[in-house]
Amino acid sequence: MDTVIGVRPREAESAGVESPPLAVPPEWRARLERRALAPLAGTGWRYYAWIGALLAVLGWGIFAYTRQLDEGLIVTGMRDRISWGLYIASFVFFIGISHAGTLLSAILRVTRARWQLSVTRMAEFITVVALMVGALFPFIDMGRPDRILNILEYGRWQSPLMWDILAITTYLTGSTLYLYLPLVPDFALARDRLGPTAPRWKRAFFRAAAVGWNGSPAQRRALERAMTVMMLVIIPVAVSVHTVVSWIFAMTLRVAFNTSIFGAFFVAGAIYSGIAAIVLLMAVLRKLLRLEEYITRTQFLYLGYMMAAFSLIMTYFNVSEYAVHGYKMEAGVPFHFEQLMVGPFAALFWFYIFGGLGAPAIIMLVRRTRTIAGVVCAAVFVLLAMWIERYLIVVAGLRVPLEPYAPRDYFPSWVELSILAGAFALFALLISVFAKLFPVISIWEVVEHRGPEPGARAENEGSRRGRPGVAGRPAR
Amino acid sequence: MAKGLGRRSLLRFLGAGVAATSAAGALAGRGAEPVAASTHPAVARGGRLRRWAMVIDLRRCDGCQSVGKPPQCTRACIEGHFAPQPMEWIEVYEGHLPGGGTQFIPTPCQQCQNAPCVNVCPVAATFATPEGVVLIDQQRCIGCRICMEACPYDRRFFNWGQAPQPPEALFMEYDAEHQSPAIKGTVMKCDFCPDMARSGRLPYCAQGCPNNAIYYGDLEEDLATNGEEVVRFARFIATSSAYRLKEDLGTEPRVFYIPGHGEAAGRSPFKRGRLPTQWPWQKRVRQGAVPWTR
Amino acid sequence: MRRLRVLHGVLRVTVFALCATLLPVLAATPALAAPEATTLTIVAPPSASLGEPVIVQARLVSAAGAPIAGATVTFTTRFTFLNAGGDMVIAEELTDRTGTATAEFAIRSTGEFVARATFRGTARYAPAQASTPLTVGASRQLYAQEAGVRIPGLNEAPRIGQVMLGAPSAGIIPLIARMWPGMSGWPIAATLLVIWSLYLFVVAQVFRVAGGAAAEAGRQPDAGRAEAGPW
Repeated sequence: MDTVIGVRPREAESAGVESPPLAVPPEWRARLERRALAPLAGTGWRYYAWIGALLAVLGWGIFAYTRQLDEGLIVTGMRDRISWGLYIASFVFFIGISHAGTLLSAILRVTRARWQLSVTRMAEFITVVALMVGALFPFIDMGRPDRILNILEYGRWQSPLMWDILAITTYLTGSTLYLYLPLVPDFALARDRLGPTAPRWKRAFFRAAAVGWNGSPAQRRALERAMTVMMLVIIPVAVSVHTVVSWIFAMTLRVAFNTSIFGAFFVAGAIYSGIAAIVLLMAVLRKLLRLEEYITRTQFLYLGYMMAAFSLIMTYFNVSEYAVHGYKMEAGVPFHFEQLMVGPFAALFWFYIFGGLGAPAIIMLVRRTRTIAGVVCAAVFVLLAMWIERYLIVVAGLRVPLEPYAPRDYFPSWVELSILAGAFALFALLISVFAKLFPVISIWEVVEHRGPEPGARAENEGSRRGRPGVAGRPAR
Repeated sequence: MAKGLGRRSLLRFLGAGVAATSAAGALAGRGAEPVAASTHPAVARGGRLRRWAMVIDLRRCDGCQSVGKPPQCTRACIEGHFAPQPMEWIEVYEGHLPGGGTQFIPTPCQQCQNAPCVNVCPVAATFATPEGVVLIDQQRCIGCRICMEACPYDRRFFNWGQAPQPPEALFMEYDAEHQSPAIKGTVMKCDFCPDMARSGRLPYCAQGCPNNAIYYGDLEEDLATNGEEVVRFARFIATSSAYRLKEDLGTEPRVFYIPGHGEAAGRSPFKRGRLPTQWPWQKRVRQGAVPWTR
Repeated sequence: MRRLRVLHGVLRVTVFALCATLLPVLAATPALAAPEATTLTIVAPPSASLGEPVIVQARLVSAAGAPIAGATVTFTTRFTFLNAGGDMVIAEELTDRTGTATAEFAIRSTGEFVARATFRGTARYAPAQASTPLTVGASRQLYAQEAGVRIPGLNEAPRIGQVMLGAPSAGIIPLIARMWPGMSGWPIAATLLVIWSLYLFVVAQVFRVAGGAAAEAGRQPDAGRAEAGPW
């Protein structure tokens, strides 16, 4: 009774995993399977209420968009002299968050780090959903969305927007593949565990999605090969995605954009905000689905350290940018610095510097704040600050006058804010739906490669009353 | 006879560089000298393509202070193209000069030879014709506005809403060289009026200027005119120390400026301010539409 | 008799006074000295090639045949452009010791012209003018812009020996910079092809997983199911 789906005695030549199969206590394993598959098994009224609320906000966002389709972009706050605003800033922000999965699933996998295996699935959720939501924004921002097909018919290689479209499409496809591959053994587990009491469509879904996985060596080899290729390919694709996103700014001649540092700067900022997004989602799902045994202080701390490291990298980039331009003070630079540091954007700018770059490093350095709550707080700061930073790049960058005219001010209108709220609602909605369809922890990987978290205690099972049982079996 | 003719031409040359005679006067009564005439105004002699360019003589531009009206080049362009409010396809900026004075700089689309807007457009809606004019096909433009970020001269304008249409637009078929009627959600800008040149006329702005400060010319045949005199383009800009805007950005514009502050029109550099631009045609046909601001 | 002598004296004083006032005036009016007639002869090659430099010389001599140095000679031709026309200044040169003003310019229009040299005249010398016909042929497109997405040989006829307003840039780097925009599609397409091929490989592995299961299921009907865990 100690075989688990996905684990079979392996031949020596089986590819991929170096360590021999772990001996895990069956109790722990069973608890993990139960906890991880519980959302797939049944749904409570709270979930439906949550989805309903999200749909309401999303509906309001769609209504705002219909207003924009009807009257044109005049309903936004953008005008000729600041012709990009909240939409493009949010586009860059969401694409940035999507680098969460790249870092955790790919980079850390390549380096054989094991601590992140319990959160790698959530990271991939974020990646795919953030890409889907982020990719909507350029279309929302278009003045003539009815001419979308012109991009296919008349597209030019030489345009940074075309690079964006190609890179994001490639990355979305790759991330979807990379989300799906480790899901196959978990789908097989769900197919087997959620037996006859599950509705037929669910059974059919899991059976189809598991593509007949039974843990045989040949199948394992195929899966390991596919995952190795994906984890190596997805890293340069992800780097290129945010680099070309930065190039829609850096390929122009504006004072604030005309710098070669943008590619690296944006990629670092993307990974930074991605880590914060994982931390936030981790904290939320951990509480909701009672996963404290598998997502422990270790995961939070390590991600917190990585956040601190990236905050230092971002500080370095910012110092480079402002020191190099500030020393020379070319035309336009004094205006830009003034508007950022003491002018209309001062509050946002200094919150970004101290709250977004300083606070996370300090939180991780000070022992008192180096807790799960502290790391989550730092993540919230980072997410707010990185959205603000994208906003500053777009709006403050465009506000620098090109000719002798008075600079214009930009304020987002209700339509833009509603659509942004709708986008966040869509993000949460898709994550919620994913959490219902796919196990939020990569069960087989945690069982095979990680085992029980050192120092984690089994949480009290607590009352199972009111919670739909799994396969109708009585609570333990 | 020869000496008398020489004296008349002498008097004309005394005004060389400053407009003196009308075209009709120059051509009438000149005797049987052959005048090299092209078969078609938009094609250079020998069937070669024109390469349109402009020279703007800032010595003559005083922001129309001397005529007491808003800048007439902008007015003529707005009336000719039905440019919606607040678009000023040729905009007269007031730049500060060292020493405390100001100068007026009429700025049309610079028709860059290394145009950043052409480089970044994802659907080639902004394109350069072989004659060097940068045009926008508003029936292809998707309204992404990356061209507006790329232009370093603030010369592109977006139709944020539906601009009211004048009655004349109902009879017009859309043409990238005339850009009327305005299409919501697309970009517009100065198009150098190549359709005017094809019928042998100067662009609206050049026609509208009361001081004849705008010269329209051809780099291929090395000529330019402001409606009164014809000059050799290269020699004209060389002897007047002409320059281009933001030369160090490498956009290679085709609009040259002769430095000045309106002194040929009697303006002192310390006399600031010009009247604000108006859009009379839009006041006529407002139809309840609220114009947006720049 | 005395009346006659007084009259004579008054007359002499008047004449003297008149001369005293008029003589300086007469001396100060040089125009009364008629300007010397001059002759201007112009020499130009009868025909020229479009865009190629042409040398036109004009010699200014006085009526006596003495060359006049340091005089400004203006070279013009009549032209129409769009809706304007008139005399267009091509060059302005000073005459040298031999009285010759030499102008070198490239004509950028084909057809028949009359090149005219004009001396405006000074206080001392009368104005003069001379003209000569000039035919320009061999039409070819001259101006080519430096920048832009033009690929010589692809969307632009390659040419040699161009005449341009600016100095042409030579060398391999500007050539690549000119050709790069049109070529940039190929590296992008190649990269995308590589990445999507890898994706197809990955999808093939998934199908292999499915195929492996079918094969095993074919051998053992219930081999795909593991024992139910301790639930």
